[in-house]
Amino acid sequence: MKKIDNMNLNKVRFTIQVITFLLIVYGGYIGLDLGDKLPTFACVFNPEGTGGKCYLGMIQHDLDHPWQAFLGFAGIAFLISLFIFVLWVWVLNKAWCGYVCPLGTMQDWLTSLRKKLKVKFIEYDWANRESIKKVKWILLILLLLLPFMVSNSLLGLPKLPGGLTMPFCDICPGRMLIPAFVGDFNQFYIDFSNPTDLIMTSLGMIVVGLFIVGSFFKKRFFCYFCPMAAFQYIFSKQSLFKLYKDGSKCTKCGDCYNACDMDILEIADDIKNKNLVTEDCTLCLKCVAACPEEGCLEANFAGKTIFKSTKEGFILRMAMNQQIQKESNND
Amino acid sequence: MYGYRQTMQKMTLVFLFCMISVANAGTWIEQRYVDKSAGNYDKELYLKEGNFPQSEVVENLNNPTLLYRYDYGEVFETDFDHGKINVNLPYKGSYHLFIQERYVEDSILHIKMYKTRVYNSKGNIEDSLIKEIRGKTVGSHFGKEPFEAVTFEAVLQKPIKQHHINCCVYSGDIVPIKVYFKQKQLKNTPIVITTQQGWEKTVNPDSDGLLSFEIPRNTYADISKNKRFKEQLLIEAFYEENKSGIYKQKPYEKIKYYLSIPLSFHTSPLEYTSKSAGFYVVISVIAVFSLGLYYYRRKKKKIVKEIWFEED
Amino acid sequence: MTKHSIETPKEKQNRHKAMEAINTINTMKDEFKNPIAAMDAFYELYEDVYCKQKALHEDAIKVGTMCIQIPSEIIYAFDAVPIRLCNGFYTDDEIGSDLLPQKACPLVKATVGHFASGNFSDKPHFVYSPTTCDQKTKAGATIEGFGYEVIDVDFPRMKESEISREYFRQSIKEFTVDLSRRIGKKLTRKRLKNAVHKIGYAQSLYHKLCEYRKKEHVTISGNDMFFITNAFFFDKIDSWTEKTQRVLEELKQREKENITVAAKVSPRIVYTGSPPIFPNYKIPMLIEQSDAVIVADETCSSNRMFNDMVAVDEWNIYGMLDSIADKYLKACTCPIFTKNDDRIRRIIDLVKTYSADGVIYQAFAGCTVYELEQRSVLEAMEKAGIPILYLESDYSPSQGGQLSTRVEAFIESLKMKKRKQG
Repeated sequence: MKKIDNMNLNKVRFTIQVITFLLIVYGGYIGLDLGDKLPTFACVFNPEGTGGKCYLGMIQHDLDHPWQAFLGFAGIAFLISLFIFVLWVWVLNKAWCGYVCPLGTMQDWLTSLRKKLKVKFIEYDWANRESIKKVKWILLILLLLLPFMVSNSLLGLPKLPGGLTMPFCDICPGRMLIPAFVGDFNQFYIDFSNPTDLIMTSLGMIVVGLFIVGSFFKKRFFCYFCPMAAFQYIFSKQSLFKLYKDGSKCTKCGDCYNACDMDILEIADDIKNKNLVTEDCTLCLKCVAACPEEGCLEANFAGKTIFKSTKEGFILRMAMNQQIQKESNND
Repeated sequence: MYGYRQTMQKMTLVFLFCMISVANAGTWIEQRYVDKSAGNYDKELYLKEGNFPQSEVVENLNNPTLLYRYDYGEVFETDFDHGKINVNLPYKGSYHLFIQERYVEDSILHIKMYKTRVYNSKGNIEDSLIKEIRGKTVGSHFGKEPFEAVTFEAVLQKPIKQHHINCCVYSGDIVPIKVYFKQKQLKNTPIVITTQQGWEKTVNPDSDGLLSFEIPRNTYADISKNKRFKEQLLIEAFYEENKSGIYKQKPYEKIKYYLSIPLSFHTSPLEYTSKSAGFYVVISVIAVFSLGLYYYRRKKKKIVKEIWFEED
Repeated sequence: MTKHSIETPKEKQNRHKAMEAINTINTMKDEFKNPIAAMDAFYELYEDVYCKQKALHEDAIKVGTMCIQIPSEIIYAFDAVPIRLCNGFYTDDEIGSDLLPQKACPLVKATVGHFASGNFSDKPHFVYSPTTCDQKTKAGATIEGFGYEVIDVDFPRMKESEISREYFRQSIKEFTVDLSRRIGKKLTRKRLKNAVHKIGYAQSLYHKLCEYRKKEHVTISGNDMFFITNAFFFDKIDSWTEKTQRVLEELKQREKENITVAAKVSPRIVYTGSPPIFPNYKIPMLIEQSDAVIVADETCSSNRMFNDMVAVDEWNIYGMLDSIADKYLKACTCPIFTKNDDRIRRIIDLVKTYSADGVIYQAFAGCTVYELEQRSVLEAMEKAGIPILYLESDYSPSQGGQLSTRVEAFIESLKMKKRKQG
């Protein structure tokens, strides 16, 4: 236990992320198939390599049916799919984002590159940070509603064009970037066949560009807007995997907030709630690693503490456990 | 009004068409949704006859056998009832349907095989539930080895792709086909391809017996509103065997085999997508935003220049 | 023939200060049971500096700091030495009394008095003064009047808001630029990183010492802890860590041999309030002479200086500077801030983790912020069921009798309670 509490989280996390990245992006080549309800961006546009499939793509596909269809077997099938998605969330909660998501991992790699180049990251101010939160919910609602409106006329509105059956996939940077990792750059294109596809694919290209610039300058840039994060959060409270905080031990020093890639203010300032998995949390556990107070923050799985903040662990991680020689080239 | 004119045009076309291609009458399976808009995803299958694509429903067949072959090789037999093809299958997923007809005419035994791929969206409940939990199966037109119950068969191989999407067949795709007789590849038998537009071609095999053709581009389609559309083509193959015998008390001196596979394809994405445009957009977004940020930061933090910091 | 000379005012001051100092050191050496041998190095240090006026940093650039909010990490990164000028001498307090209002805080008076006398063993080249409490903020101008270079450093009086966080981060950057110009050196990433690690290491030693105070058998007295932490104000950092390591080694040995500084029934005290600064250990000594033991404190001369370490996510200059600023603002529990629930929670947490029996809250007469906060802290302790004693004191040596009666009575009541509980 002590060994885990003292671990160098960044290294451990980097390793886990590399492994999960390989499994999700190249797993298909070794026959891995985790099904098509994964709460993470395992991309269908990488059909040979992917080790599973993203549920956001699947749910858009499922919703593109006339409403009558849901009264029959399709309705049951839809609920089953949703249930399986919830099961996946139940197991890992938002750690899917912090440890598995290939898009998240790519962003973390860009962050390491920025760190190496010694370029300072961008911070949002608190007011903007707060208003950005809504975007992911709007995107989630749109991605559920638009495919449904392709097959149904809602409120007397005409049915939407077929180019909107997978609206989120059109603008998701995963569609372009994940296949790129298996050498397939064919998803970088603009579709001129009709106005809807033209707009959606152009948006997609713009989003990829923004993704690359954004996540270079801002840690986990895309995750602030990710509808998957919103979708997971709906089922997060029941999950087995939790981030707990003991408010009485908190000094509000803000070290956790400083470490947080998602700029979650509650992690430092909330001393009342125990469950600190907020809507933007990626359960990366960097806050636990940055907390100097004994047992103030902890990662908990099914009621068992698996990693908690300790003074000793903090000192080790900050490399403050040994005397620095005056002219040492410690780097 | 539009509908009327369209019909008139079509009729003229039909007339012209009939004049041009007199002899080539084919038979094939066609499928369509019963009522998709009302949420009914049941499909009706018909056997059609005529000059592709103009056709009439075939209501009676001589000694038909209907075989459905499931993904992993299981075969199911059903009935042919006055033109209607029964789709009542146990599993959810893709099947290959084979309709076989035999009759003797002019001392020739005709054995005709109509083949197509059918997706069964229902299946029995337990199987469907398991499929739903596990994830959807992706059916394939391609790559099933021939089996004993079907004597003469053509098998589509995976097309050689020049474009990006993985699900479908597009104009411009090169589709390789292998023809089998009694599960052995025939290396000298040609096939005939007929498209919806009436383009027809006899494809001869290469030295390995592989028959490949490029799906032609439709230059007459209306692309003013949408550059994408869906079309059909028909693949046909013929084979003769000099073998005499008696079938249903009728003697014959020769066996003629016929085989048809309808294949739907879409306009090639190469017709309406541009990769370079995509890359230009991505690169310009990256350039604009990084430069913008750079200048914004320089402007915002003028003091930084004065600061005696050195980041190494 | 012996040469007679008239004592100059400076010599007289030094003589008085030496008397005060040696008095405290000797009490420490002689009047407590089971003294720690390794502490002698610290006593010697105090004797050298305050009785013999020995300079410790002759060649280095000495940067005076008026409060803990001036980051030592940055000063060390420029190879300069931070000297904290908070003062505990009654002699200086008396000098300062003529310069500041009668009711001003003795700590500020003593600090100003020290500058007025100009009597330093290590004279600072220039002084940084953060705008913390009113009296320190205003003291800067007075000190400047004696010909010292005093640079004010902006410090916000709120720590929860975004704007104050940004404000202090900016302030620290400006402080760094100013310091860098004065010293004529550039701040490099490597040096700053080393300085952060160096201070972090010193802090980790403090936390190790505190582990011994959490145990049932306390092996080090609160006064010795004050000696150790107070030495960090002016000592060479490498020599401080060496001395502290030796103390730690001895504590390990003492734990094995079960040598303790307090009896089993001795009440365990958490000390909070105005900082005890050498040689003004009047109250802590009174407490420990009355058979209690100070197991933890919440003061800016000790715990607050060491408790929070700089936590850096990206070890580049921008990341380190911001983290340093945050450490000195966000983690600070100084009563100068508007709301201060954090301080109350810290005290309660200390009582819990160090299994203390009571809290002694001491404020200097004139130290308004501690006096103002007294009521809310007392209320909160009452609510939490923690016995607390509030004392008001100053630097004068004459106050002993009345204070000792109150302290003794409080400790006796805690003892009774402890006996009852078995």
